[in-house]
Amino acid sequence: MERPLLPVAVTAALSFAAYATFVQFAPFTVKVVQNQVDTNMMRAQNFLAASPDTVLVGSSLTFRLPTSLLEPQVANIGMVGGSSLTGLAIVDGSGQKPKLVLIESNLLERPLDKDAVQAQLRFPERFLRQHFRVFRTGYDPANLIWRGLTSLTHQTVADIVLTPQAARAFYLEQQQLKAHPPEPVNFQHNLQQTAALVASLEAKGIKVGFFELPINPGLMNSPADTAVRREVRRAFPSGRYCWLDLQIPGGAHTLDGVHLTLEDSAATTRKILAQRKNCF
Amino acid sequence: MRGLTGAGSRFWGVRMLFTDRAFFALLFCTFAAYYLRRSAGYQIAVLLIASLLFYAWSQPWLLILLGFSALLSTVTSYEIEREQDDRARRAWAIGGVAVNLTVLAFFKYDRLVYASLVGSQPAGGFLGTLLGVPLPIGISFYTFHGISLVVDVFRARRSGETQSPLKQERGFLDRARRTFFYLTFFPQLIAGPIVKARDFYPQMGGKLFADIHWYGVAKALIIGFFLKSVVADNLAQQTTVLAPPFCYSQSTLNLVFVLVAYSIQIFSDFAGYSLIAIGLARLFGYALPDNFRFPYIAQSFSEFWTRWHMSLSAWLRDYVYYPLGGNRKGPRRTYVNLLLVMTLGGLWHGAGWSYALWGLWHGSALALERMARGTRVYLSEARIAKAARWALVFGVVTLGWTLFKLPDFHQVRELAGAAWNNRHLRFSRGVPIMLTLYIAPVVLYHVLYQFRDRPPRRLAFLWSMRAEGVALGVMLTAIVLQAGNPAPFIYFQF
Repeated sequence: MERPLLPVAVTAALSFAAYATFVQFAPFTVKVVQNQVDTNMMRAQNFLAASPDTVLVGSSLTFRLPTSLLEPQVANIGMVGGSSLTGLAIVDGSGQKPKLVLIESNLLERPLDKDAVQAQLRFPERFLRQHFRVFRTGYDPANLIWRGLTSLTHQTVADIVLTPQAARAFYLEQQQLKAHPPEPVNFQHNLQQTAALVASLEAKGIKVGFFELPINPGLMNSPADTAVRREVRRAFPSGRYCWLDLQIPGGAHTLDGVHLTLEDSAATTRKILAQRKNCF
Repeated sequence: MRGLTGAGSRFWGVRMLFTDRAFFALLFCTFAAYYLRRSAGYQIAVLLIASLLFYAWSQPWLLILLGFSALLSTVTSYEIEREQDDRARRAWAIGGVAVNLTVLAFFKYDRLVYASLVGSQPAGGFLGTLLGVPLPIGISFYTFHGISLVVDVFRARRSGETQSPLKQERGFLDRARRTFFYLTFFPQLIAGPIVKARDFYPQMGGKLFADIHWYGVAKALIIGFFLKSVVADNLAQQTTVLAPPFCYSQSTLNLVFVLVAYSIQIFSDFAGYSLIAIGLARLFGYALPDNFRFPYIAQSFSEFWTRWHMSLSAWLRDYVYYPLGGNRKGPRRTYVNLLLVMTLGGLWHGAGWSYALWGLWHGSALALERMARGTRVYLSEARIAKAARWALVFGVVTLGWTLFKLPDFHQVRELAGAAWNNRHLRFSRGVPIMLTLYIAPVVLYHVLYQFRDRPPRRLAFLWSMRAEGVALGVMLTAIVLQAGNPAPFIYFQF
């Protein structure tokens, strides 16, 4: 080794060791992280590190269901920008045995993100994360700083604030996205993958249930949602699978047409907690 | 709330990124095989195979076009060298350049031309299929390499060089092997730096393991991966709010902050890639040209372009600006040349009028600056004047990036509207604090360079070798601890 490389190697080793030791024995946990992608990862990692009896898998619609109400019995691995399939594949490949997995049916036209699944389950990352906090998303320096800042400023988790213009634009975007049924070949492929994963979970003795989260009444009966609902219900009929009823009388209140407000998220979460017992 | 969108659906993408495990496995095997023998022929063959594997990892048929482009450059450059007649040589050169440009135009600009002349793309039929052909990744770079080879050989022959650095080959097959290697060398294949044929060919020869400059390799790779994985990939999560409808809920000050962050992100992404490419090439004994030299300290637009994407600037200067007459044909012609070259440079980045406008934006800035050259403000050495010039350049460059971030004019207009209308919204502190965390290292990187010749006495130790080593060590730790969600390099799409 050339001499100038020595300070590089020594500094890297020392700084890593010091940081790893600090977070390993730090008397706190990190629950809020800097962005939604990190939150996706943190939630998946939390699920892998714990043994919840129920797991929710879904998209950003499920993501917004407050974990403070769900944990510790129920893990929420709703993925922002993702599909229920991703969470389902993580549960299936994890070796964990929750009693019940509840699958959000709203956006099953979205594909499985194999990279995200691999990133959570492959060796040695999973092994390292399991034993050392320093490898977990929540404990990286930026998230630790973020945690420190939110503690210092006594910031509480506030809902996303959208201006009326933004809310309207999001709504119109959703309307456009949902104007046509999903592309049939890809959607059927997703349903087959879901069925395979469900069968795999059932073979391990894990019960599987489904739920459809309420969205803006104006979008619920859009061509896309109607087609998805029909096909998912056909593939996973209520006689064979447990379906939760989460509809809100008078219609759901949303931020942008699809994502529930904090109040409705909390109300829906309470319904899930109450109804999941029927699925065991 | 929504997922990130990819670089674009129109690209045949390479799945092997510099941050992938598969890439590290390939690199390790290639490195081990490379230094088994010192023979240039053997080593070139090893790198050639590795480069083709790297490029064809997920789409083997991408090799067809790459092979065609390399063969075209081989044949035309070989014939130019062999041909005794001036006119025939010229014809081969023009033909080589024209076919290279036609290939690029066909794959890259077909839709733009069609949409501009006719309207929206037909859904089916022969024309629809033709226009639907995706853009092979890296085509802009290897096409420019091919053109560089043809022009360099032609110029060498025209100037009567008997010992052209390119003329080391033993016959057509040797030329073909070297040309394929030049075009496909994996560190620079996808996104440069664009290395000129006359600079690359003389380097081809047997390399020794003992000659590897390990510190140089480590420095380039650590800074490169730090800029890409820690700075750019993390900022990428935050700068999505520039796009509508997200921008509608951001205050004006927040939007300005995020736009500055995007300016840092795009620098970190591309400079990071370039440094990784340079470090990897060094590992195999090849020197690629510097691509970025602290561009954000520039106090003039012309200085900016000698610091930003330097290999492209040099390519455009040598192969387009000078042949057009450069600044030798009077001021007016110089302005026209600047506008033309920069607009073409903009279009090279992407097949969209927003990229052309981005080029024109920079061309106009260069032309206006040339007009102002003799003025007091331009010549003043006062600190305030320097600071004002720096702020002007940084501001104009940063504003220009909106055309990169949002290639749809409608979105740029919406962003501008949000920035104007949201003056009354409350400044949110959380996001800027996190942005600062990622921006700070890049600012420090530029500041340290700026003061390298006259460091403040009390801080002089910061410029020592040992301090640099410590900084690299910390960066290495940050790469392990703080790498963001891996995203394709922004410049891959070009």
